[in-house]
Amino acid sequence: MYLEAVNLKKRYGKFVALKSLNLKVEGRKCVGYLGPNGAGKTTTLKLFTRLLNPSGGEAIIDGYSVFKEPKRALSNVGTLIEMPGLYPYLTPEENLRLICELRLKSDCDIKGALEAVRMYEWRNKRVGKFSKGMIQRVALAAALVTDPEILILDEPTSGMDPRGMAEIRNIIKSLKKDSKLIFMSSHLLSEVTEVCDEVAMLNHGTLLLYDSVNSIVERYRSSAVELTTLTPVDLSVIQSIEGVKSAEQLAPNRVRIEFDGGAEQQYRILNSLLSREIKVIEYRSSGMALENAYLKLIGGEAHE
Amino acid sequence: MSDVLQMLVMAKYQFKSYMRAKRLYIILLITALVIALIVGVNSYFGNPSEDTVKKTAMDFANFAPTLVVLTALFFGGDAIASEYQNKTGYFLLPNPVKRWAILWGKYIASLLAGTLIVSIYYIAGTAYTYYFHNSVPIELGYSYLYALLFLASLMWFTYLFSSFFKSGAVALTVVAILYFFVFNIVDGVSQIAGVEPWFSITYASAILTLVFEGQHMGDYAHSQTLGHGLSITIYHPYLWEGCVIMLSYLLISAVLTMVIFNRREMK
Repeated sequence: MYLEAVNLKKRYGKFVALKSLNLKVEGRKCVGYLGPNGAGKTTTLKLFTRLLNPSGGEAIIDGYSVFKEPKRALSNVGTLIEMPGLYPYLTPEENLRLICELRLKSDCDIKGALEAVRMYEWRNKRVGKFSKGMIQRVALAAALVTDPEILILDEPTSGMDPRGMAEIRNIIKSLKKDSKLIFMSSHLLSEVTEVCDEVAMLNHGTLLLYDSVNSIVERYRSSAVELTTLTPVDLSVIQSIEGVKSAEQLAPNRVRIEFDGGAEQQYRILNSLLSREIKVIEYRSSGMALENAYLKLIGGEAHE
Repeated sequence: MSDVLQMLVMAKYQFKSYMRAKRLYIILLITALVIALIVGVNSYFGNPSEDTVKKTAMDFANFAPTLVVLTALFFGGDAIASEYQNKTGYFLLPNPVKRWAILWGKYIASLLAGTLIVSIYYIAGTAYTYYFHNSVPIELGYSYLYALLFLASLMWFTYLFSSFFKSGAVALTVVAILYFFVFNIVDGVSQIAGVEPWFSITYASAILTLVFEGQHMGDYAHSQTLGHGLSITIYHPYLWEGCVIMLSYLLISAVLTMVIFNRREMK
């Protein structure tokens, strides 16, 4: 199973939202799709779900063109695009049943889908007065209810409270275990790091990077750590440690240390700190690898 | 086959939506009030049993075009636009369903709901006429069939406008203005100018009542010239002409709506 963009282009008047995107995501995994506002992420997902017409190129799902054979291409795809509206006069159960019947699926697990997003107890209430978070949960249930092998999710935790976000992340993680291909846009780098196996980064409609999270972590690992100690620490002691390039006092008990080398060196510095009887209570990389990659590739633009 | 099944599923849920949204009940109430008003006014101010049977039936058929317009507005005005306005299109359109199946499903539901209203109205008209004359003219049956054709074409025409706009309220308002003002003005100006308004669907809708005119069905003047200084020609569509105009609206609107809806994007 795969999704493939071949020279996929989209223009809105003179604005080019997507410049000849070539991307193939394949296999049973989660691929995060990152980029700042206006990068073209949602445009890509809308093209893959035939909500937009392309200005050029192809979007292919499992060998079928989304634009020429949408019914076949989307037959095994569950989608959650933007924050969809649900039919307000129908209940969550009826909204999901509509999807099942439209897809001519008789073996839908509506109860399971609603339970997964913790909306089962609301199954018989009309969705007209639901909050955004509740609607997003039901919409996610609708994407899952026919048990598709491919999921296209556009910022699935959008509009949710922190607890809801954690729950949705757990659902997505469990879907990975069910051997699905998940293509998910997100504005939360931590979310993508936590949930996804691979990352595609996009800016100004151009793909900048597509790699596994592990490989990105290796390439963009931070060579700085932030140290928090129980008592104030003398900077000169830290600067004397082998491999330390510089040390900067952030607060009386917090120091940022820059060093040469990779993970091994980071470990040796920690050992040296402990051997000097510095009371370390926290020692962590300054900035995530994904964030470093993002900032390096996309720059200081405000990210979505 | 699966496309047809999907179309029927769409029709089922659209109809359910009409019932839940109380639209169906509101227009039923309006219909009941109109029926009560016609019966009350005619019985109080006139004596229907002294009128001809055709005249009594025609009194009822007179309001039918307006009722059809109201019905088309109620069920078709925002049928497509609301998918974009309420973002339900994000929920519905990415499914493996051909867009024409969605469109026709919605249309069938709208048409069924509209047919129910028009049928109730004509049943009341039949009962009313029978009550006073112990008979019902065949023209009332023809008028009913023309009303259904008018409904089918007007519904597509309303769907066409609904597919243009993003807001259901805007679509509904534009279509209402078009039906109640623009077409009537165009019909009037056209007749003053001495041009038969063969391009107007409201002109065509006159056949719903013209069918009662004359000794035989369709036995009435196509045009009448009123003199006295200002000469105005009043045109009446032939029955076949009215049907052709309505069918043309139906076909053209249906094709255009399908093309637009198939190409329309969820931006």
